[in-house]
Amino acid sequence: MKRLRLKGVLAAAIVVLLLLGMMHITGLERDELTVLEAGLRDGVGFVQGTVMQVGYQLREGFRHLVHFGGTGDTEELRRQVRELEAEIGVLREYQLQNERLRQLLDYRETNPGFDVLVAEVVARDPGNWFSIVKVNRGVNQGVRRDQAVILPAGLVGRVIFVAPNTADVLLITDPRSGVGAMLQDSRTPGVVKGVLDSARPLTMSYLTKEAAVEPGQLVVTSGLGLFPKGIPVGRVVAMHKGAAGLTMTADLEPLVGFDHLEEILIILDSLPGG
Amino acid sequence: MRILVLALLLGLALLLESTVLQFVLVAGVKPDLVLVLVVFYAITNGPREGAFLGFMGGLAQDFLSGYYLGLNALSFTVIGYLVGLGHTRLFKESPFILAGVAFLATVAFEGVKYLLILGLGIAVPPGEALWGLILPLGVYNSAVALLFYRRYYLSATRGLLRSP
Repeated sequence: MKRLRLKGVLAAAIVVLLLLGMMHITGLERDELTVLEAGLRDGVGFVQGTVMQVGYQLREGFRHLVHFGGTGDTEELRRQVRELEAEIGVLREYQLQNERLRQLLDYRETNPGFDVLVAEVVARDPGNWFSIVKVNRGVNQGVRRDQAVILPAGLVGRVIFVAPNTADVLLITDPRSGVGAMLQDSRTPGVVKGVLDSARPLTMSYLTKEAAVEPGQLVVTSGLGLFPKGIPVGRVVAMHKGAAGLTMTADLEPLVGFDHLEEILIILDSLPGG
Repeated sequence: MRILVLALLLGLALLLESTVLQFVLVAGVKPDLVLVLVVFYAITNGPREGAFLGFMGGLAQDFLSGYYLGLNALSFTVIGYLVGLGHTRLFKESPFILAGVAFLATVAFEGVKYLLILGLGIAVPPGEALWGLILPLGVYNSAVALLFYRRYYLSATRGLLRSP
């Protein structure tokens, strides 16, 4: 009996060690996915994309659904009203999507310096710790690791993994993300990082104590690192001293609705002369 | 049959978590349906089975996320086992007790995960993790548990999820 228990403990210890080892070798530092993982992502991505599309339609349909009771003749009319309201909701969803896509198209035309690709968000990380979205474009459409992801309003994140037909994007609100940025007016540099706070999900650290930081100032990418220079990142809402008191930290209000991402732009290339 | 239903529930929970649960964010968090399911299963079936379902659910979530394979598998196994210890000690019929267990299980689960995340070199200040994620998620999960436990308990005692 004792020997059996010892074997059980030993087996559990081996499994725990294996899992800890796996955790360390499957982080974001990996250069690429295995063939099995890439295939799994693309396959699951198709199902997730379908569910998301149905979800968008249902959400808009529910928003327009009228809930009220009744009896007799009026009940039939009310039923018809409910059906028509649901239909309007679905049509409204198409209209909104059309408007968003037109904005992305406008961005492409007014920013000829970037060769951009439109992609749809098909899934999110199932957990709450990390901010990663999966999009329906991959290697086959020219997407590569570390490409910047934007919206007309501002910076969204960067591509961290690519499969043949899907890619994962690390949002700038993720705690593992770091963006080289600067205050647009004073050109004071700093680093924008993600924070686990739904009200203020971005902070800008390492600002010099002498920096003139004021609420409302725009923060843009500095061009140091992976992101092209001058992309809006956020707006300063508050300032406080950094951890050691040697630098300043600013809380930023994001310019992009990270909780409601549906379509995004991937910068495939920065064109010369743009 | 019971295994098949559990696998389907796990798959559905993961699919919803990775897609449309984004529409029901409260205080920046979405409910963890896999954790709620593991809590339900562990409390009605004991520590060994709780740990087993936790391991399977966590591994499936790890593969779906694609990063840090083992992070969820390990955390869910620990929580499945711990909650399962209450199998013979708690009054399982009450949804309110289960809501309390779901809250504590969420805090413990996210606590274990937080330590593992720190071990992976990802620095998140403890206050930020507690107020920004762990406590709101605990409240949200306990509300979900309160909503669904009666239905689950009926199925676990008289329906498709009844132990053979």
